[in-house]
Formats: sequence, C-alpha cells, structure tokens
Amino acid sequence: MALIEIDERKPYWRYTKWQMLASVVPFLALIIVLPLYADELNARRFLGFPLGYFLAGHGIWLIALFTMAAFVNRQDAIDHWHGANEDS
Amino acid sequence: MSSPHTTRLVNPRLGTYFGIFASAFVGLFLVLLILEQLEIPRQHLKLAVLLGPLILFGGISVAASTNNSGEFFAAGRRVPAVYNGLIFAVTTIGGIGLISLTGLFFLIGFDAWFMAIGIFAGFLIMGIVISPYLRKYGAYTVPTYLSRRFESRSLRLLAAMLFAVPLILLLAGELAIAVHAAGELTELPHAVIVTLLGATITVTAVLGGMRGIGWVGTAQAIAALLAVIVLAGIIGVIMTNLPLAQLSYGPVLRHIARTEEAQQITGSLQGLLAFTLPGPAPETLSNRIGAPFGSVGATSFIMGLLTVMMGVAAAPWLLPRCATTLGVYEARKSLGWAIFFAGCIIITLSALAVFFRAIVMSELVGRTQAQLPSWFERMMADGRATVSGAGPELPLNAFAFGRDHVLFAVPEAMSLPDVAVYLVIAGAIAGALAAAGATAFALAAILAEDVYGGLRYTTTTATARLHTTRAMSVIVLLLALMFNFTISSDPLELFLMAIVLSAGTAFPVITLSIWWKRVTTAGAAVGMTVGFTLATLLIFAGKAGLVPAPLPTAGFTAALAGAISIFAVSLLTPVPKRAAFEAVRDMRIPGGETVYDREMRQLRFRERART
Repeated sequence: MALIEIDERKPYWRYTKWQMLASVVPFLALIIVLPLYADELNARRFLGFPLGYFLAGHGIWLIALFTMAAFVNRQDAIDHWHGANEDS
Repeated sequence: MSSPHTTRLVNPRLGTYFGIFASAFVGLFLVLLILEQLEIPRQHLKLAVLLGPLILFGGISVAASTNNSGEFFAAGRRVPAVYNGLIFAVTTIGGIGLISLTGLFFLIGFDAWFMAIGIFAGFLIMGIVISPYLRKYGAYTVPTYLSRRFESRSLRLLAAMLFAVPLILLLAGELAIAVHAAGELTELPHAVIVTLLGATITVTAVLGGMRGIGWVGTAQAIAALLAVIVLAGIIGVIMTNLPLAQLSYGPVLRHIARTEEAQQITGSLQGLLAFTLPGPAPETLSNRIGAPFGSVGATSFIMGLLTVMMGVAAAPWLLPRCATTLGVYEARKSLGWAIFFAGCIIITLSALAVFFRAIVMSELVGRTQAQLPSWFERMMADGRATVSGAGPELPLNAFAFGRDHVLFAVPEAMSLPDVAVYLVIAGAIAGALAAAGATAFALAAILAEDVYGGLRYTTTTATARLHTTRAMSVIVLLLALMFNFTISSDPLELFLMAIVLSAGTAFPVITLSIWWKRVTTAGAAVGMTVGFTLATLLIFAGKAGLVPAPLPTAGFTAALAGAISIFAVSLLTPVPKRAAFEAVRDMRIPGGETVYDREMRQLRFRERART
C-alpha cells in the first residue's frame, strides 16, 4: 500500500483534481475556439506562416507540449508535498 | 521521480542498441544509393529495401523473445519514458497516418488538422486523466482493469467483445496500408507481400509479446521518423534553403495562397456539418490549402477533433502500453514525449504536403497536357493521378491525385534519386507494422486473458497464460490476413471507425471509473453498450446517407450518450461496496505497489496455500 497518511488522502485528491482541471479545461477551450478564428487570423503573419494555420498546427502542438510538461512538474510536486510519490 | 532501484532496472545499453539500428538503417540506404548510381537493376534495390528492414526487425524480435510473463505482458515494467513516448506516437499515427494524412494535408489543406489536433489532445488527455491511474493499476489489458475495478467477470467479457471490434478494424486498416505501401515498392504477388508482412508481425508478437512489440516498435518508429525527417530536410534545403522544413515552409504556403488567388480559386465555405474526406481514388484539388472549412465544416471540425481526442485517449490498443513504464511519473512523462514525437512527424508531413502542392502549382497548373512533366505522366500511367480538360492552360482543379500516393510522389516530383522514394516507402511500412503489431498483440491479449481466461473458473499458471496469448496472436494474424485477402476497404475509413468506436465505447467508462468512485458495474456495462450501439448505428446511418458527418457525429454523440448512461444508471443502482471505493483510492495514489501485481501475488499465495 501507499505510504500516504490517511488524513492526507482527501487534500491530495482535491489538489490533484484541481491540477487536472487547470491543465485540461484551458487546453480544451483553446482547441475548440482557435480553429474557428483561423480564417481571420490568417490575415496576419508569423514566421512566414499565415497566423491561423500556424497556431492551429504548430501552436496547438507547442501548447500541448507545454501543458503536459507543466502538468508533470506540478503533479509531481503535489505528489511529494502530500507524501504520495513513488519514492516514499 | 524514479527511485534508484527502478533506475537500475533500465537497460543502460538501449541507446547503443538503437543507435546501431539507426546506423544500419541509414547505412542500408546509403549503400543502395551507391548501387543505384552503379545502375544495379531496380528490382534488386526494391527487394533489398523491403527485406532489409524486415530482417532487422526480425533480428530484434528474436533478441527480445521472452518466456517471463511479466516481460511478455508488460515489458518488465521498465520501458523508459522517451522510448514509450516514441512508440505511442508512431503506433497512433501508424502507416495510415503517415500515408493518408499527408494526402489529406495535400488535398484538403487546413481541414486535415482536425486529425492532428485530435491526436495531440488525445495524448494530453491520456497523460493527465487516464494513463497515471492505469499504470498504478498495472493490468495487462483494458477489460482486465475494468473487471478488477468493478469486480465483475461479465463486465470483463462484455468489454472484451466490444473493444475487440475497433481493434479488428484498425488491424485490417494498418495491414491494408502496409500492403499498399509494399505494393508501391515491389511487383511481388499480393499474397506474398501480405504473408511476409503478417509473418513479421506474428514473429514479433509470438516471441516477445509486449516486450517484442515494444522494442521492435521502437526500431520501426526510428525508421519511420528518419524516413520523413530526412526527406523533409532534403526538400527543405532545395525549396527554402533551410533543412528545418517544419518551420520554414510558411513562405511557400503564402506563395501558394497568392497563386491560388491569382487563379481565382476561392474554395467555397462548406456547411457547419460538412465532412467530405477524400477517398483512395484520385480526387481533384479545389480547396485553398491554408483556408479552413473548405471540406470539413466548422462544427464537424470541432466534433471530429474531439472524437479523435477521445478515441486516442482511451484506445484499447494504446492503453496497455501505460503499464510498461517504470512508474506513474514515467507514465505521465511518456505521454509528453508522445506529444513531442507525434508533433515532429505530423508537422513534417504537413510540410511535405505543402511542398508537393507548390510543385503542382509551379509545374502543372497553367501548362498544356503536352507540357506536363515526366513524373506526372508516370503517375497518370500508374493510375495514381489524372488530368481532365484540354485547354491551353490547365487550371488547378483539372488535376486529381490519389490520397495514398501523395507521400511517395513528393521525392519523385523533386527528381530525387529513386532510393529516396524507397526510403519513404520503407518508413511508411515500418509505421504500419508498428501500429499493426501493437493492435494485433492488444487483441490477442484481450482474447486470451479476458475471453478465454475470463470464461474459466480456475486460475491458470503464468506459462499457460503466455502460451494462450501466443496461440491467440497467431489466430488473430491469420484472421487479419484472411480479412485482407477477402475485403477491400479504405484504410483511413477503417482507422476513423476504430477511433469512433473507441471514443464511444471506451472513453466514458475508463475516465469515469477513475474520476468518479460512485460508478457501478451496471452503470459501466450500460454506458459501454449504449456508446457502442449508438456509434455503430450512426456509422451505418451515415453510410446510408441518413446522418450528416457520420464519423464525427457518431463519436461525439456516442461518447456523450455513454457518459450520461453511466451517470444515470449508477445513480439509480445501489452504491458500490466499500472494497471498491478502497480499490479506487489505492489506484489514485502513485506510491506503493502496482495494484495488479499485488493482486496476482496474493492470488498465487492463496493457490499455494490451497494446494
């Protein structure tokens, strides 16, 4: 069994849920909204690309990568803070 | 963080081994390049391109063979995150993604991004919402996890039967695209090609199980990655003077847009629910490449990307790989790597498609039929492309290209040596084999562990489980080969159907089983059944023309209906037992022993005590 204290379980899960929501909800909002404005954004340029095209392709990929990296880092900190990590 | 103990488990020579493989793969093509210049007959070169990588994959399969059940079913739970991420990415994209997605980027431009965004988002959701918890549980298959989570043997059988359907569809699709790619390379009879590719997958799955699929999959992923990255680098230098084509194709895209404007190609904005994806037959070019919603309407685009996201996140052919990492932290990290590698591949494919569109604009559009270049005439002669109209200046929409031939036509149109075309084909075959191998093993494990094992009332030994899965792997591959011989379907359509069924059937139940303790066995069973039934009905209704945008609608609606059913039935049925709550709480804590390993250990102790 995990070595996390019984009293720590609820706060640990509360923080984990918020971390999940904070990572997933903005990303979902972005991938739903951004493609709808791609045509308007295409009037601008970035690195030579039409901006809408760039953001829908490269942009969403980079944001997904950043979101995942930030989540791994923050969730690991939550795990350690509550003694739920794999080293304990 | 991985502990010092787990760090020691990782083979420190993995980098060396795969470095040797990458060198051998590159070396093979450099030798072939020299032989091409020495005018060695093309048939010999083509055969070497087909057999060379297959022999390398076979060698790795033999080296990765195992009789240990932990190794066979979960690769010893010691696959480093970066390798796992690479396999995740290439297994998801597969040959269908490499070949058909490039064609989609070329033919419908921006609208093809719904698949790519769906894959990125699917990995993100899998990494945050699903994979850490499935890794802590550690079950070898998804139905096994559900049966233990809900303590129900009938749920295990139901899940196994429902999840087998998308697996069969995907396996058939990947095998079909692998055969298509190999057919571009060699004039060997169809039966020989199918048998050769099927035998390669069977040897890998039978000898090494998940371990073999993992390490051979890594080699196949490296081959696929090298093929597209090297090609894009070369073409990038030729067209933009920069080897980083992924970031330098913007000006080419804008140049195409200006030419499209000059040619008065406006591309009509489709209705919100339009969903017209090109099939395998040559399709005309009528959309502007950078403008959205010319083939896929705005609503279909969003529903489509959400369907792909849910389908990838809960894919029964991908999730068993979560159990192979060193721990929960590594499981999360591996999905980060998966996003990285998937992005590298998909953005490279989009760059290749844009380069090919630029070549078409400059070398074909505005010419007469007599002025068409030799590479296009070869494509026409093989039925890979067509041209209609006979005016003095042929417009863009006079040309039609086969979706699944675009990737291979790019190096040909750039007048690169034939070996460059062979390299891309070898990469595509490797990608298809990686996806087909993972799918075949996932299906075999479900049939052996959950259908055969789930029906038995006595526990079997680890060796017997291993042999049953091996036998099932052979049966699954034989069935897939028979399917390939008898039925001809569009691989991309099969892939999307598998994704839709995965989204509708697996996503709601897997997600809610982790995040909502109150889900009951009845709720899970009804949710899966409703999702599967609705997805299937909507797919068939779409085929009959009764539903607009059948695939995105089916996936999105089925997932929603499945989730609502789970909520409704769970709230109407008695609260689960305290033990079920404890199991969920245990699964949610990263620390401690893997739940499935502990349960198996306890089962073995009980068996020993009884005998």
